[in-house]
Amino acid sequence: MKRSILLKNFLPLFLLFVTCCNLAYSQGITVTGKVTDKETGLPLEQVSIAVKGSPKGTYTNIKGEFSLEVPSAADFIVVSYVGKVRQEIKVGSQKDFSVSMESDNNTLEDVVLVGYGTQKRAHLTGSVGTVSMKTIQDLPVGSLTEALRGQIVGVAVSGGFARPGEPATVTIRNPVFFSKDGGSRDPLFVIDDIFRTKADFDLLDATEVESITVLKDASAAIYGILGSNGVIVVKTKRGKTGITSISYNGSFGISDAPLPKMMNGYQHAQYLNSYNAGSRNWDPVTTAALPAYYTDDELEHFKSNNYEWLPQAWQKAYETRHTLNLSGGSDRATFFAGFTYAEQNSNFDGLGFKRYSFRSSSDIKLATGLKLGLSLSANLADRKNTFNKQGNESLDNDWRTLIGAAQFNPPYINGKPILIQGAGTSSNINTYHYFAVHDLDNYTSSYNSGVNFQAQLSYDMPFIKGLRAAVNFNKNIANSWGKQYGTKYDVYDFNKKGDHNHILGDSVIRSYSWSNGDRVRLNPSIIKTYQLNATVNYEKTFGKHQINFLAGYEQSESFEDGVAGMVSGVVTGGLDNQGNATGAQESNETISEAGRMAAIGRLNYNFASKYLLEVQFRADASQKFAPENRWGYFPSFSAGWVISEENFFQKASNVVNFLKLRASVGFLGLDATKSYQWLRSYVIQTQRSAVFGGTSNNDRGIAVVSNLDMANRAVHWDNVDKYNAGIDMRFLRNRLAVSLDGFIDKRTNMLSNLTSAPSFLIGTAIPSENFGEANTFGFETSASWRDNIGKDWSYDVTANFSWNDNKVIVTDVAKGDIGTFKDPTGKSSDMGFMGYRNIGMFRSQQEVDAFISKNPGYTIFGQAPKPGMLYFQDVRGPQDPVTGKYAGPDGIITTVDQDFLKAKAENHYGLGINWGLSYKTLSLNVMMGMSWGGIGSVESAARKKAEVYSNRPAFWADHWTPTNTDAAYPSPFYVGTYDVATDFWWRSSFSLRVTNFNLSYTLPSRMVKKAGMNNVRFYVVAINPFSLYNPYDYKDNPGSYDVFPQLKSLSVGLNLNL
Amino acid sequence: MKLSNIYTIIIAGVVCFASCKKVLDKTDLSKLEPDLVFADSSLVQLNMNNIYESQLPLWGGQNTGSVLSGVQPQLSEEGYAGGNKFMEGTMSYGTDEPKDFGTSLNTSNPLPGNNWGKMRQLNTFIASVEAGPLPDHTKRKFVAQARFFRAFRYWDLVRIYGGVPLVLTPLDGVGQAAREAALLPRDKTSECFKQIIADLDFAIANLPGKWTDPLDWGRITKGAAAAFKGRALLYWASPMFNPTDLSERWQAAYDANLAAKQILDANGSALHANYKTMWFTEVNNPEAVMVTGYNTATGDQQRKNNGWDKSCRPAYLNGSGSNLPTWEMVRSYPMKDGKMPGDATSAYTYHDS
Repeated sequence: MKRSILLKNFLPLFLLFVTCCNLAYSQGITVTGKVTDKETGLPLEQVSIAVKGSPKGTYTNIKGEFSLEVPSAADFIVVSYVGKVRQEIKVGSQKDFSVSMESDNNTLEDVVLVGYGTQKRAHLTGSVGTVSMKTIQDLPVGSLTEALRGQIVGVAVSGGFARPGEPATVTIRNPVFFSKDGGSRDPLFVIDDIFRTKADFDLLDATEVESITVLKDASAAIYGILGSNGVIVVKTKRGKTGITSISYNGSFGISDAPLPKMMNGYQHAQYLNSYNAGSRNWDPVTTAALPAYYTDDELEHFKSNNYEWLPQAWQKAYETRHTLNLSGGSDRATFFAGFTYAEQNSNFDGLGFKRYSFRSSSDIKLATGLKLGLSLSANLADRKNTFNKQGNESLDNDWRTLIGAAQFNPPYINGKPILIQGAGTSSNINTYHYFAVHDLDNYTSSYNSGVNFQAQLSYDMPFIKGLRAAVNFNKNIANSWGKQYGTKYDVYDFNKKGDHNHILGDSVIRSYSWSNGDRVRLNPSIIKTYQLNATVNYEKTFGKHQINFLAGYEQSESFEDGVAGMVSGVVTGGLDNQGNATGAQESNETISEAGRMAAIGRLNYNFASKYLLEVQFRADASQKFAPENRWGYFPSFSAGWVISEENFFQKASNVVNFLKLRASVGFLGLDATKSYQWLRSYVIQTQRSAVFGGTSNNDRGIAVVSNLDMANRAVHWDNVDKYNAGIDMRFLRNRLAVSLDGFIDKRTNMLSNLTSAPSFLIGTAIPSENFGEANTFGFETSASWRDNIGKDWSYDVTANFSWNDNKVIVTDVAKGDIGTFKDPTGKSSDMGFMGYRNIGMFRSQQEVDAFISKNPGYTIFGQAPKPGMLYFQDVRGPQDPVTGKYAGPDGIITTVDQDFLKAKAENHYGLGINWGLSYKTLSLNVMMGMSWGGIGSVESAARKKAEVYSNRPAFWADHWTPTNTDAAYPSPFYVGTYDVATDFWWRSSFSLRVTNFNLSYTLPSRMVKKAGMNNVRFYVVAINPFSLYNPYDYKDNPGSYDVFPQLKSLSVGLNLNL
Repeated sequence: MKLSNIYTIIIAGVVCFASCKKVLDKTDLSKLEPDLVFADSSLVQLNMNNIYESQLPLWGGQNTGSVLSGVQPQLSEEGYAGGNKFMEGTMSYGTDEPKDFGTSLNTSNPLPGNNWGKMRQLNTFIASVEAGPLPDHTKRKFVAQARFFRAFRYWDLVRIYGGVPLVLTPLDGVGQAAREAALLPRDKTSECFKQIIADLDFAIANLPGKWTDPLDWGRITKGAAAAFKGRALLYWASPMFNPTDLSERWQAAYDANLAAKQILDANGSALHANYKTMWFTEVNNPEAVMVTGYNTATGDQQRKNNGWDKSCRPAYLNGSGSNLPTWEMVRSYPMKDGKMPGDATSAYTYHDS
């Protein structure tokens, strides 16, 4: 009974419910459509069509068609595709859509990251450059700085891509500074609105970065004191609403470098014979009697027994990189997670660098207008190098000793490392036997880990539209664990064979036991930093006027503490820890703290996107100065006029799509000095106390020594006034973009340490004073063209040209130099190449006699001229101590005969050409760089005289002897006359290199979809593949031959998008 | 809920501003302030130890790295493989500046490299100790040692150059006016010697005759200061500074040397009984008046080793055989049988060529 009542009552309800559900379900609309490319009219495949705010979505097929269920007519569909402008279309009553996608060439709608916010590219009034993340994401570089090479005009990257883990350096517009104790030319690095160090920037991987912007001129004023050398603003990737996307990028590559050509054993021995012959005036009898002379039987032996040490130690290195990014989310919350792993081993066995990083972030809408962003990232960097304590601890000791090894010595005889002949019997840089030390497995390593947490809370005020308040807090903890382990090793001296005992025999005479540091040293340290920003932002458009106002407060503190604990006397054969060392123990701590505070304000105004105005202000306090001098005030103004928006310009707008004039002026400052220069201080040190109490007192004790003997309480921030003017133009349907910028930076009150000008009666270093003045100036132009040929081909070319120089107005000059040719006042810091003007080489005694008869009394640095010597032009005589003036030519060559032989020593002109070509899904991108204008010269290490234990480049084989009088290079004996700066050693400084190229191929989407993936791309990347012009015959790299070279590498990679 | 969020942000801001003063109040954590150092006599003693290290002479003469600072080969025609411009008279302006006087501003504070850096080190020490709160007798002992070294320094300059600028306080160098004021002219030689003697008199009056703690062996004593006063006055009386041969200078020199001998005798100095073992006695050796100490430690931080002995030993004794005695020196020692070379009764035939 009851059941029937139930049924009677509930059945209608149930049916109603089902019908409702059905109705609700059937309210879903099926939307169909076709997507085409606006430029070519062809259908676009694999375009993402999604319902806004939900993970539902689909992709267009090969005909560009799609079909999608949309919940209601009020929803939006989001049409997005790589390289095209994203569109959101309301469904409404329409069921069939014809979507035409426009290429995002029109980058003017781009939003560019600037300090503390973003701005439309069209509205920028400052000189701002952006990096195309697409071009750099494939580069297998160890530090992100290297990837910036050639990307932005005015940004110069040097070094890097050599020893694993050693980063490159970057400078913006070549700043100049005089301070010897605290300045740097590094720009400021800002990651997600937080000030970070260059090391943090280097640890980022290109795939976890969303955009990089470089602020070159007064637009950096918003960063006050720290922005004077330019600012690199980075935004890391965060989640995006839409389908969860997974992307993987991995690559593997091999790197190598061509080795410099050195003299072989026979040539080296002949060189030494020529040296000795020169000391005996080429008399064959006395020369052959010298014990150092290599006799003919020995030379014969060396011809057939030659040992090259460097190729034995050198191997090809590999580098590998894997990154995985996940991103997705809904309207309410989005997430991003990224993992990176990169490893680089070295061309020398036992060195390596590994880097791991993890980044995760989430953006959550807590309530209407209240957004919370959280991010957590961590990184690990593991670096290992050989520990060489031979003399100094320079990392390049391994390369230097291997490249300079005399090739007539074998490294091992019967498995025992030899004592390198001719350099003494104690351990020093010349007797350093790389293989003996390398077999010890001594290392210097560092294991750095860091954690970074950031929380951002922003609230859009409900009662005032356009007003938003935000708080941004970041905490960073960086730990470093450094360790050095050095032990002892043996080298063996063998019996000698050959007429003059220059060939090593087989039996051991004696062995030497040397220390390679003999220590276990631990160096842990921790750096804790936090930064807190609180900002208020107001944006309002009324009519044609648009204003954007920002005000904020920023503070940050940091604390650093590290200890170095060392125990010497390592137990032979023991483990690499302090429990296996029995010698003296010592420890010292370094500890420091810093703090910063600032108030910022900015106002942006534009009228109809035609007249643009920006005013910025920052009040900055640095704890480096005395309390009364801490605060500095830095305003800046910039304005722009978009002429192409004007009515009178409309006629030309077919050709000139966009024309903007802009100018900026900013008053920034820099605190380039050590902290606490306003306080005298003492410090406790070891090794500074005298020994008392007799020889048996083996405790030398510590001493309290003066650290800063003279203080300058008045030291304060210096002034950098930046002026910049520029034009941005776009032509021919935005295919041609041209930018021109001219700038001048006037630096006054520059912090300098005077050492030449003060009286030495003062007896101590003068602290930094606000003393110097210098101007830096230059111009930059950038032009780029991109176009399509037919429907399959497209290409683009970008050329960046820059020139810069500086003028020193007030600087530290020694009293004796004022007013002479050496005076740097009023000239560029690059005054040119100072050296001796070479007239030629004396090739025979007759030439010498003829010259002497015309120039009697001519001596070169006190030596009488002889055949085989270079000779120079006599420019002036000695300086009169009373008047300071130099006398006229005096007929002898001394140090006063140096002159500035060419206007510039360094290349001030740079041209970068980046071009790309693509056919359907195959594309090639090439980056090339050219520079000229200075002097290239054979480096001083190559000019030095070779020793028995130290070889020199192969060009020395062609040196002057009485039988080889037409040689290119002088006789080795007259060291003082050729190991000087002179134009004899000049080579062209013109360089044209291919910096990198990237060839990539995207698989057809049909193939890829079957496997369930979205996008698969293969690529081949080469870094430093070749240089198109090399004026040196013995080396391929522009650097010195005796430092670790820049590597060439070739990598293959895969990029998957799921 | 919305309102409370606003309040949170405002409160956060207020808290920040309230604590903002602390953010900039940072100090140099690992350094010691001068006021702290000179109020504590043990820290002053450690500073004094550094001054000893920087001021005491080394093997080869004064501690200034100079070719001209008193190593005899450089000042005699017995020369020096690379040529001896000082003896040859070929020094030239612009290339051969004398390094002991100093040709550039000293920039290394713990161990200044030239005489004026060392002078400043002493002047700063004297001024700081005198301005500090230590008891008088402690202050005087420290200042006495510093003033001895100041006299030692000035004598090193004056004996070669004659009158030099007398700098008795640490000069200021910040600002153009201070730098102009530091360009001092030379003082008269007589003024310089007067200052040297005044400093030594203060040292003699305030130093102990003998330091009681054996670990203080090597510090300057009353006798050392007196002996040095005797040496300085002897130079003042010698023909180089006394061309008219004023006899009162000779009298002053005699008086000072006699006083020195008396002080030294009273404190246990005498000739050592055994010529052979004299070289192996260090602490409390009666012939030692002023010493620079070395040790045999091997660790980097503890050692200050003396290589002179190794240089004098021949190679077959594991020395380096660098220093060789002159023939005159060898001839002045007896042969193995105790008789002088050339003695007819000697067991050895002696040839002089």
